Amino acid sequence: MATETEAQKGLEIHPMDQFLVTPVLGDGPLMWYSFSNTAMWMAITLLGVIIFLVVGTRKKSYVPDRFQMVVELIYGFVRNMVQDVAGRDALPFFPYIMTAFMFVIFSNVLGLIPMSFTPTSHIAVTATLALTVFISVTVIGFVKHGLGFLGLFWISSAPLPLRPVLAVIEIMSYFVRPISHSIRLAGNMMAGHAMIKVFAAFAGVMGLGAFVPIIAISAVYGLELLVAFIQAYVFTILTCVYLKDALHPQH
Amino acid sequence: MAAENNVSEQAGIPQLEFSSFPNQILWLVVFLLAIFIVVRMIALPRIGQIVSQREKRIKTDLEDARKLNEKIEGLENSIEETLAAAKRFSEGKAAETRNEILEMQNKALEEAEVTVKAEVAEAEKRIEAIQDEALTNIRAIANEAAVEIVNQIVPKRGILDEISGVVDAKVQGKASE
Repeated sequence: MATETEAQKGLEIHPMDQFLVTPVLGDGPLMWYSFSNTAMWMAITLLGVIIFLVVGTRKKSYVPDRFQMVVELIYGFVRNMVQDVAGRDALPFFPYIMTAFMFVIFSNVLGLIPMSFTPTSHIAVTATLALTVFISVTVIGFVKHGLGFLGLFWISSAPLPLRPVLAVIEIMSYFVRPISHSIRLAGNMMAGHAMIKVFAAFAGVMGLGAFVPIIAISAVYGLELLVAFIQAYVFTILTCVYLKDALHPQH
Repeated sequence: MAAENNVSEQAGIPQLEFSSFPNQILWLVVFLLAIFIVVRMIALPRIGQIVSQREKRIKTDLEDARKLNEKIEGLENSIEETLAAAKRFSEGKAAETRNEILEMQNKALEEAEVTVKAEVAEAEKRIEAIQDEALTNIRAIANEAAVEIVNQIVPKRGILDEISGVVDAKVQGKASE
């Protein structure tokens, strides 16, 4: 009976439903303070970060076990990234960058659990993160160098007549940074999840032929896992690049 | 079913549903701060401490190993010097002993030579005495034998002294040869 109803209705796919922000507690409309699914999965992200960083290092062993080794590996990876890209003088900002990396990577990976929610697939979240980075590095740039920070836009190695033109382009590119920084992450997360949902809907109506979309889902899922890590890395390394520009604005 | 359709109708692009932005931003700020506190206050100091203590331990161990290595090298040099001194000592001792043995050998040879010479002289004297004695005995026996023979052939008294003189002369001549 149900199959007949499905057939009569045809194929209905709602790949964007998974991104709806809805309250988890209570039936009322979403208020600014409601404990929503976004809040719940951010709380789970926090829990994951605590388990990973705090529980993983509880033994404080000289010779680390596997768990501690992974934690130290991530610590060394992010610390070296900050130092190599932005320089040694960027190390005081390492905790902020580590926070952003842990939040993004845990949100991305936890979002791959079926029926879960991915906060980083929302532009509101990624834009807030990117704007925080943008405003912070701009303030750091002006605090460290005063008006000398504007030298970032004045390419002294270019021929003199070209410098004003390049300065306009540089300023535009500077202000586009938070947009590209946020849309890149949200777009990548949203696209993969939506694609998996579309394939899953195909599998639901294809009967025995469902193995084709299931194989496709498995393949895309593997790709999404890779994308989750890569996007966290890209978001963090771009933060380091922007920080480097703020700390060393001279061209 | 109606509720499901309602959700789908609402969906569109939920990322562009601006009414949800304050809620998302509020909870993002809350949980990001919480993560920052965990990272800044607990995780990074702990991991930093583990890593720095390990580096310190490795550095100390390497320093200890370097010192032990130097000590071993010193001991090796000391052993080599001791061995060289022992070799020199043993070589000196061997040469000294060899000289002593040679001296003793020469001395013994000299003593033996003196003894041998004395014994040879003694022996020669004894041989000479024996020869003299033998010659004396031979002369008497020859005299007696000649006298007896002549007595058997010619029983005359005067000739006996003459024969005895001839025999003595002959024996004397043989002895001098």
